[in-house]
Amino acid sequence: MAKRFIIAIGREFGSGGKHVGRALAKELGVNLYDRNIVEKVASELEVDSEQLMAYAKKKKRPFFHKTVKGHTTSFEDHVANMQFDYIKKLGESDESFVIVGRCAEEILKDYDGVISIFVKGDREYRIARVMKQFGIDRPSAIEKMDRHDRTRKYYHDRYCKGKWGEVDTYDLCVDATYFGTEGTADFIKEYIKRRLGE
Amino acid sequence: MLAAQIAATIIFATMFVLIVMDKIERHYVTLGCGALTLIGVFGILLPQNKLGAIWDTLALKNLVHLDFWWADPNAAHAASHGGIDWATIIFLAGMMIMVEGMAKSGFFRWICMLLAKWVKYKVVPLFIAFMVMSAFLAMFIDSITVILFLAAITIELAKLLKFNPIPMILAEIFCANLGGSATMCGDPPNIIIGSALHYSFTDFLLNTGLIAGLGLIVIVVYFYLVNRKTLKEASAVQIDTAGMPSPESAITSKKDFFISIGIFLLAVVLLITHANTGLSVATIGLGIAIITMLTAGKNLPEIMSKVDYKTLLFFVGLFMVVGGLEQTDILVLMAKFIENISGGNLIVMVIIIVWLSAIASAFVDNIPFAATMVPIITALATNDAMLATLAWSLAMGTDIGGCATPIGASANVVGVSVAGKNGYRIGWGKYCLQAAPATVIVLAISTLVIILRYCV
Repeated sequence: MAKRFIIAIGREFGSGGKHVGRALAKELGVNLYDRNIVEKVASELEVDSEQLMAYAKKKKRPFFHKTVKGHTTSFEDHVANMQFDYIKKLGESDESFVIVGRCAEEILKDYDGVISIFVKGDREYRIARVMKQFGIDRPSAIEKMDRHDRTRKYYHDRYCKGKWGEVDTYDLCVDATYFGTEGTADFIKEYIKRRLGE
Repeated sequence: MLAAQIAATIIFATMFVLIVMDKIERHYVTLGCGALTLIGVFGILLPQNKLGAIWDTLALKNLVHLDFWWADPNAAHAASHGGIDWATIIFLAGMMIMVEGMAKSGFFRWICMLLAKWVKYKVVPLFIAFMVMSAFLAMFIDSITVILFLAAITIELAKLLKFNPIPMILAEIFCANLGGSATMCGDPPNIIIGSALHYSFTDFLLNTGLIAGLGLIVIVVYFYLVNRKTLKEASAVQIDTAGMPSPESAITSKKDFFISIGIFLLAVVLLITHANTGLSVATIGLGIAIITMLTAGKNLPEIMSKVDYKTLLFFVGLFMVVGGLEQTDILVLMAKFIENISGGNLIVMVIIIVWLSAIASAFVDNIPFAATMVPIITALATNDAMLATLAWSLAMGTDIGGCATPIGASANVVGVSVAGKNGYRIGWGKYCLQAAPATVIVLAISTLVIILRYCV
C-alpha cells in the first residue's frame, strides 16, 4: 500500500485475533509487533527479557506500591510504560506495521494512518479454539479464556481512557466466528484498503 | 466536644488510609481532609471558639510576626503550637527552587561523575564512595533529588562497568535516608520537628547527626559484607575506562554551574549559622529562593515549573488535619496514653517513640506521622531536656524507620522507580532482605545512644 498505515488489533482470548494480525502482516508485507516488543525493549536496555515478560501483564498488587512525584515502585507499570514508549517510537517512524494488544489503539491514536480493530468471537467458537490450540478440556478452556480476558481488560482499562472491547474504542469491531482467521484477515484487508482510499 | 473529637479522628484516619491506598494524589487527600476539618470539625462540631480554632490552624498571623523571620538568638523560644507550619513550607519551597537550579546546571551529574573518576571507576571504592556521597548530599538536599541522580548514574556506570546496580542503589537509598536524619533540612520530619520546637541546624547535627555518623560507619560495613560476593565478581571484570564520560561533560552552563554552587554553599553557611544569626529557616528558604530566581535568567520558567507544588500543598492540608486533632485535644489524650503505658519513665518513652515511629514510618508516610507526634511529645515532656530527648527519638524513628520497605520513604520509591524504568526490578523481597536488617541495626544504635547519652 502506498500510504503509511498502522493496524492496531485488540482481541478476545481465543478469537484468533493474534493469528488475524499475523495473516494481515504477512499479506501486507509489514512487521508484526506483539510480545516481541518486550524482547526488543529488553535488548535495548541490556536486561533479562524473561523478567520483563513475567511482569508484562501482571496485575498490580494494591497497597504494595507507592507513587512519589510520578515515580512508582510498580515494576508492572514500568514494563507497560517501556512498551508504550517503544510503540510511540514506532509511531514516530515511517514504518507501516501491525500491532497486537498493548493498548496500541490508544497509545498511537494521534499518529496518522492508525486503524484500530477489535476481534471478538462467539463464546462457543472461542472455547472450541482454545480446547484445540492448548489440548485442554472444556472447563479448563473456559477458565483459561475468562482469566485471560479479565487480565486483558484490567490491563487495557488501567492505562487507557477507552474501554477494552467496547465499540467506541475501535474503528472496527469484527466477529471472527463467521469468517474464521483467514477470512477475517481478508475482510479487514478490504476494509483497510477502502479506509486508505486504495 | 466528643463529636468534634470523633470527627477529627475519623478525618485523620481516612486521610492516612487514602494516602496508603495511593489511588488519589496525596495533596488532594490532605487538602480535602483539611477542608473537612476546618468546615466540619471547627465550623460545625466544635462547641465554642469556632473562628479562633480556624484562625489558629491557618496560622496566617504567624507570617506577620518578626519572630517568624528573625528571632533574637539570645532569647529563649517556646515550642510553636498548632496549625499550618508556614516556616516548613516556605523553607521547603526555597530549597526546591535552589535544587532545581543546581540540577539544571548539571551539578549532581558532575559530582557523581567526578567521584567515580576519583575512585578510578573501581567497583568497591565506587560502592563505598557513592554511599558516603549519598549520605552527605542528603544532609543538605532532599533525598529524592539525591537518589534521582545517583541511581541514574549508578545504572549508567553499571552498564559501562558491567556490574549489577541493584545492591549499590539499595545502599545509596539507605544512606540518603540516614544522611537526611543528620540535619534539620535533611528530611521533612526533621524540618517539622526543628521548626516547631525551635531547634537549630547545629542542634540536629550534634544530636541526630552524631547518631547518623555512627550509623553510617556501621552501615557501610554492613552493605559491603552483605554484597561482598557480587562486588568481588564485579571487580574481577576488566573494563577499559578510557571512554568514560568526563565530569565536565555534565555541566550545561559554566556560569549557571558556579552560581548554583555559590547559592548552595550560601544555604549551607546560613543553615549552620542560623542559631547565631537568628535567621529563621523561613527567611533562609525565602532568601535562597529569591537569589536563585534572580540569577536564573532565561532558565527561570523551567526551574519554577519543576518545583513540586503538590508536596507543598500536601503539607498545607496535612497541617490542617493535624490541627483538627490538636484543637480537639486528641493529641493530649494520645500523649497521656503514652505517658500511662511508659509509667512516666523516659527510657520507656524513648523506646516507644523510636520504635513506634519506625514501624509506622516503614509502612505509612513519615511526614504526617511526625507532624502528629510533635504536639504529642511536647505534651509529654516536662522540661526542655526531656523534650529534646523525645525530639531526637522521634527524628531517628521516623527518618530511619522509612528505610525498611520500598514504600517507607520517598527516596526508596524514587530509587526503586529509577531501577525499574531501566529494567531492574527491586521487589519487596529483594528490598527488605537488605534494608530491613540495616534499619534494625541503625534503630538499635539510635536507641542505645539516646538512652546512654540523655537518659542515664
